[in-house]
Amino acid sequence: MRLSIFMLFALALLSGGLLRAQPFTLDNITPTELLLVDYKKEDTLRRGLINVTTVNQVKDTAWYFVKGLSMFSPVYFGLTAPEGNGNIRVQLCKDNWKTANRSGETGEKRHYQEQFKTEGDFGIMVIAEQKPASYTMITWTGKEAKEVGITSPFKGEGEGAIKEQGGNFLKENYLYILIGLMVVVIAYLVFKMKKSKN
Amino acid sequence: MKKICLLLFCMVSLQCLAQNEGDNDVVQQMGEDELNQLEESHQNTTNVANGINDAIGHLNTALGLYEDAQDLYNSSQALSSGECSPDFSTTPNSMMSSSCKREDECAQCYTRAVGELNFIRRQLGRLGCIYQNTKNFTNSAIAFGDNASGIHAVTGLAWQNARGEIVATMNHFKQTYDNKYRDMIGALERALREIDKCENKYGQEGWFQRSGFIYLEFLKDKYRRND
Repeated sequence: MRLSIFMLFALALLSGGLLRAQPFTLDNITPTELLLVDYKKEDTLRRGLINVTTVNQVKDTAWYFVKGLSMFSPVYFGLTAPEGNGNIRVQLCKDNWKTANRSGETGEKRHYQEQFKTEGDFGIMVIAEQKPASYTMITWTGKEAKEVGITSPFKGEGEGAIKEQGGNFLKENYLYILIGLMVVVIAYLVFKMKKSKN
Repeated sequence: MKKICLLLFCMVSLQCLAQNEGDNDVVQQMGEDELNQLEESHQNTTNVANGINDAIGHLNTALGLYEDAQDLYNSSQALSSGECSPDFSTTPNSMMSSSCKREDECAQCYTRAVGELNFIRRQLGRLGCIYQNTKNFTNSAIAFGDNASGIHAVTGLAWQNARGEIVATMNHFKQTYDNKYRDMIGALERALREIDKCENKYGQEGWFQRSGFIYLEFLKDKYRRND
């Protein structure tokens, strides 16, 4: 009975997590949301949204997530640690905290970064091999791209234009053609008359 | 009953006791004003500011590799290999004819109408992918829960309640999708009617009945929800 109540209590906590946040897991994780703010509105390359977060991590693992992304916008994620910090491992997860879609570590360069595109949200899991660990995370997303692979739904755009142009030439110049023909006919008649007189 | 309450109390107490100041991660997120001030000042007065400047430097280096924002987007891959990418292709039978020379007044009329059409196509593509990704995620979550809840009868019962909520949420999402789909198809038809006006004025009459309608039906079928 004691075990059943415990399991019921645990599952109640976990099911709330399933409904609330993405990625999902049955572990009791409460990720921190990284909020995006406007960035460099006047810069045509860098303008977009950004989050800059500094962390002093004392636990083994920390979880974060970013939401509100568009599949038509590029995303950059970077984690930089100052000197004196140990190695920090990073996993980026889309659907499941147990399955990393991208992963890496800061290593000697004290920096890890990824670039990708995604719709909605993604999770960030940071594992500090040496605690406490200080680092700065940057998540940046640009404005939506103009060209996203939309192909033209029209067939033979040039063909219709060429055909139409041919037809229009006759329509526009019929008067001159008629005058030209009349001149030829009149000249022929005059020539015939002179010949008959002679 | 007393023992159960004591157990729960102990669990909560342990969690509270663990919340000492030094046991929590310190997370500080910069606001827009702080960021602007940092960029304007460029002063490394503390270790924290140094760390932030290094991080921003890496961002600038990464972005500086590209000529423009379009180039940056083109070189980005999807985060998840299973993630949906919109398909904007058109079947040969559904492609529309066009008689606009695109060199004069017709071009102005056409550019505006086709721009609106492509905007709707883009949004439909995005809507379709959002639905597909959400559906896949929900199915995976339900399968995960179904497998994990089989451990104990009581947990199985609790999971059924939670499962019901997830399914209800998904059903609500389907309704939202259907509403959005109807709105966008309406906007799509209006965009095609605008192209029809251009064709009637500068090209061939009856364009919508011959070409536009077929394309409209093609997109309606493509993005209609079938589950």
